[in-house]
Amino acid sequence: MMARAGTTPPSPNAPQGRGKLLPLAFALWLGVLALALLVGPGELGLGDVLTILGSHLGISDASSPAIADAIVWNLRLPRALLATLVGAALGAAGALTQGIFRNPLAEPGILGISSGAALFAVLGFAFGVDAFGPWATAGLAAGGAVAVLLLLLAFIGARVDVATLLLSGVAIAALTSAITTLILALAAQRWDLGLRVLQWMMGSFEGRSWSHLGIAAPLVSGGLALSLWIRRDLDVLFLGADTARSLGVDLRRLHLLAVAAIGLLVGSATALTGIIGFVGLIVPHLARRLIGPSHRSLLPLSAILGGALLLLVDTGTRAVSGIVIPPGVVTSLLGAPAFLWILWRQRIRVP
Amino acid sequence: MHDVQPTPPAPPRDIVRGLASALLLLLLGGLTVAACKREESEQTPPRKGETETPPPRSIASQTILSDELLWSLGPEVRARVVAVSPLVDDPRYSTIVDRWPSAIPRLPGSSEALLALDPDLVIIASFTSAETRAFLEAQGVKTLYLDGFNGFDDLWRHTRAVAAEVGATDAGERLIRAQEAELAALAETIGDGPKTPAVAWSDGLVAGSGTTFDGIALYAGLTNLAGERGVEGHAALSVEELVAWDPPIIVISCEPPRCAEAEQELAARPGIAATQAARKGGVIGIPGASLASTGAGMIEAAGLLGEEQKRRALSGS
Repeated sequence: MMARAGTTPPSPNAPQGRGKLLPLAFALWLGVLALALLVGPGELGLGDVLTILGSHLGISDASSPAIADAIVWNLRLPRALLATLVGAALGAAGALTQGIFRNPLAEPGILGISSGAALFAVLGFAFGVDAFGPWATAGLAAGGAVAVLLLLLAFIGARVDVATLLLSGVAIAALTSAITTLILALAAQRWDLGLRVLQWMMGSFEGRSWSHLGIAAPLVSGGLALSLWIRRDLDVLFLGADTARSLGVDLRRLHLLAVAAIGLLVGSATALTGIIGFVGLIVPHLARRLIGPSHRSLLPLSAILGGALLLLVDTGTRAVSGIVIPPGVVTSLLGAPAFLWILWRQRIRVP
Repeated sequence: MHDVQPTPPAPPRDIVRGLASALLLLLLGGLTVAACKREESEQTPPRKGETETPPPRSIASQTILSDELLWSLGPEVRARVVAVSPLVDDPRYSTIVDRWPSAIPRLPGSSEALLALDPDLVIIASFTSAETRAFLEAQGVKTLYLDGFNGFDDLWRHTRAVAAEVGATDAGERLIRAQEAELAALAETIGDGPKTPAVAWSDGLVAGSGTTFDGIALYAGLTNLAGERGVEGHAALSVEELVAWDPPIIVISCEPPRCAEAEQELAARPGIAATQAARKGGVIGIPGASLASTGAGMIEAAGLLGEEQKRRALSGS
């Protein structure tokens, strides 16, 4: 489990052309965003969308029909931005997790944070707390993520051991999943509870609005800032724990800050949209192949690509089917084979 | 020298084909007989002139619909009921909350618990687990299997089946006639004017054609817009799609006494706030027990929906 993520440690001399990757990725995301605003019911063309955006941004005075305006400004745009933000959070959290474990198979879900968030949300559904308002579920899920995080920190204690952290995460994930299943089993007769839990656990951007975005933005920004703050220490850790320690890296501090950043990123993403798996696996892996292992570039690229991927998945599912397909299902369909492929490659490398 | 193992003679092709054909015929015959038996045991009341088996002395109900029907068939039938479904007292799903005496056990579909009551008849439904059904039948317990819960025709089909099975055919017919009369009275109050398109939408799911909302809408003077748009059964419908439809009426499921609150919450939701329904007071909350009912609650839902429309039309909202 402790094999190196990349084949080479971060190099100060990045290969030519890699500096253009970030603007290119940003352009890619902009293209997907344009697509996301055009795709969907209502037969709205590019002109309609631009008029609506222009009127809200104070560029144009032209007015649009109320329904068209509501579709573009109140539904599609916040949904697209939220998908971007959640994708960015999961992508960056994945890069961070893989960096801290020095293993490309590490994924934020492995720490049990998503499962903890899910458990608290399901408790809310079971006891009717969700009836108090749309924020109740988000608040509970965030509470679950924080609870798991605190539990992990308590386990780590004074002695920082990545293997202990990893195994603690696996055990906590198993425990929270078992309790979630128990709650569902005890309430088996309540079909509406099962439906809600299933919908939530599959992950969705359905019905999300500006207010959701308002909550997500500061939390994800905080998580990203924390990630970038520890990027140098993560790069040094690539050379091995002993080397990092000898070079003056406080491993305990680094692990605690990384766990806090992961908790903030994954917790807020899960709280607002449900469980969306494997983005944190596919995206950093791809980003590392494109830009190399240095976290200075890897973290921003993972965030942008994560945002673009999740937005593309959400737009694609909206475009190809009238049925609401949860993006979490698509990311898992993409991610599971990717996981197996990486695992297979590792088996070849490590006899 | 190699030992040569004697090989058995290969069976002639004709024999193999013959055996295969015979097996296939036996399988098909078995399936046909089983299907016919199942159909007979399901919902066919005894024909006139046939020897009628005595009505069951102990009846266990495993569906809310059969709980309701058994209650409505009168005191003689009620006295023979030994178990009802666990949701019968849940106001979110049942229209006969607290009517069945607490001494009657509410069984959560456990085969063992059902068998312990030694019932002569167990009423189950398509959502009962296949294992429970197979177990009961293997133990020789007679089962009545209800399937299809999509409107008034299904309700009356099930009413006739249950009434016949428990030996209360006349009571069943009286119940159906009373419901038909209620619906006729509702239809009269609505008149033949133009019908308003409505969407029944809750938790991201819409009721399309072939659902109980078809009948509810019809008797409330509405049309089922989702059905008209080609949605069949209960299907997921995104908020964006709902807003693009811009329905004048959105019917939601709610829990009294918080129906007004639920209506306001939906009408204020981003996107939905721009629809005709939200702007003109067309978001109508109907208690979940009635809106989701597959029994007499459907009539209640149609009545409530009709009344609510009239009230709002009078108040000018």
